Amino acid sequence: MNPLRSIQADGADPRGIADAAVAVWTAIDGALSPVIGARGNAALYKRSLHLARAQHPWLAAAYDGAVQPGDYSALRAALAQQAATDASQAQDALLRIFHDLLADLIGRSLTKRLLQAAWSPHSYGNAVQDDSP
Amino acid sequence: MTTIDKATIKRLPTGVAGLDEVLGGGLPEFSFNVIAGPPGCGKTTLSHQMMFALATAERPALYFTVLGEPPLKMLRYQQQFAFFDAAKVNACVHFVNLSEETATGDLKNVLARIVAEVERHSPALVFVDSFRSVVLAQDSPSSFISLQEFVQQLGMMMTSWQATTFLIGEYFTDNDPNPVFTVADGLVWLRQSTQGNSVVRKMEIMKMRGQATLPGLHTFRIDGNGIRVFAPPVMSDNEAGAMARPEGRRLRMGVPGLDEMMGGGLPRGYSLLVAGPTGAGKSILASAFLAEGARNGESGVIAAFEQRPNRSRGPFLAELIASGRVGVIDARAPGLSVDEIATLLIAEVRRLNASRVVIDSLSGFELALAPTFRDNFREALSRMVLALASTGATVLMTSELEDRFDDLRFSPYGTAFLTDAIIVQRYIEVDSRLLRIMAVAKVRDSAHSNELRLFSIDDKGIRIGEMLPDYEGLLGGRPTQRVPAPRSP
Repeated sequence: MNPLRSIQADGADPRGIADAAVAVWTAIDGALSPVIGARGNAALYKRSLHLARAQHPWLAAAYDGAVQPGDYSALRAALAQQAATDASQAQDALLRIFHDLLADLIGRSLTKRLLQAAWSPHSYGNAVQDDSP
Repeated sequence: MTTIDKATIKRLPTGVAGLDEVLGGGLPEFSFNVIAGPPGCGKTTLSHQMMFALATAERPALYFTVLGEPPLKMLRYQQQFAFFDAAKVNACVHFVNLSEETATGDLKNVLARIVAEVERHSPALVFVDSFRSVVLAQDSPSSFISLQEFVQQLGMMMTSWQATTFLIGEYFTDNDPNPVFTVADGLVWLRQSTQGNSVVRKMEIMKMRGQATLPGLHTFRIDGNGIRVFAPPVMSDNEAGAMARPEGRRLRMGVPGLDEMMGGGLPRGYSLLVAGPTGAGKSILASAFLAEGARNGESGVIAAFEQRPNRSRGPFLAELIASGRVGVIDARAPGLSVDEIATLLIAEVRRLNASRVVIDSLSGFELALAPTFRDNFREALSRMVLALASTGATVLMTSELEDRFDDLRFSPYGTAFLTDAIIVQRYIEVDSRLLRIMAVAKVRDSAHSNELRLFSIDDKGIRIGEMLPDYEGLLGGRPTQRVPAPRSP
């Protein structure tokens, strides 16, 4: 699984997109929180929502609902209410912003290294696989 | 009982230049250490540098971050150092944030999480940064174990897990008998000492069980490669062999006539002090000394403390430097210590296998030192000269000498006694001209000339001239012509 790949392919059902998105964020939380702290990860996530809502104003609900670290239910609800295209575009934008924020802070190489655990939790220490088409 | 029955303490190389020497041979494996010091003194950098050097797939490291500095920032800044290897992260270096557990205020939770992670990763190296947050957590009324218990349990657990452990702490003070210090096998104290506007970083190994550390405060520097510690220069036993100077081998000075004045050149391994007033030609003599070495295929090292090193070196020396035959010690960094210069000099001598070393000048050297080191200049210089001599190199030092005509002094530092040979230069006034004279005042265990010789400097360098037999009081600067003596035809 590569969360940076568009999840549109997962189906046109907004609910399915919302579930897939939350699965991605939960995996990222699982990879980053042990290293940078649950609050550190939550702060990055919230900042990403803030930046993404300039393009997708309806993400405001997800922003306001992101209170507890690791709780992505507000995002799920917000995505599920959108048309499939809007939902997948917003999730893509959110992930890209999150990734860029992290890369700005700790560099691309370390970002890749840390997020690797999110897509393949069992491949600790192996070389990064490029599974893009 | 034979020594085989004793436990063998393996000493790990820390990957921090100079630190293994200061520690007395490296870091004892499975030791429980405290790295203490005020904010900004380099504790986290020291920890990361050791961790990245030591961590391997067989010897993984766990780095616990506890509140304090946000881990994101720590990673952001630490990766600027050359030692930071992102490929090791999540492979053999694992960062674990303990802020949730610390926030509960119960050290038991912190300990439980540490135990869980240690069981999961089986680390050989464990870091807890920073311990200050753990200390603060113990003040919380919800804590069920005391800090002392926490430290003891942690120490016990890590030793039985065969992990070399580091607690990184702020806010400790030397005079506070913190229980942590009793439990710890090693105590590394980092400080920043301020005098005037000069700030110097210093490290002290206050405790290291089972081995003889180098006592005292050792300066260190942090640059893009991380920390470098400057241990006082020491002579190793096999190097001391170089002290037994091979008889007969003398180095030519590169100034025609000077070798004869010195009884055949400067014996190899000697230290020579060239003392004289400003402009007399000390640096030119030093350059000639290096150039002569280069002509014979020897390499040299120079530590130049002049204000404008590039201009004052002269074209020939500049060429030798450009071609790599003469190595240069960068002596312009602020807050220098003698030990730092000594470390750099000895490293450069070894790198180039150099036989000639020039320090130009001691006066500039003293000025370049951080104020805090000036008081000990003599002692430190004496150590440095001995250590340089033990490498087998021959050392030429220049010393600015105020023209004082009422006495004959060679250096304001009392350094004359520690050099094996002395050349003194003077200005004299003769017939309304300012002339230069030179004499060899000392060559240990060797015959040498006692002549006061005129010399001049031109494009080719120093030319040694005649004596002035008709004059006396030359050292007084204003010689007088002797009562006319009958001249031989």
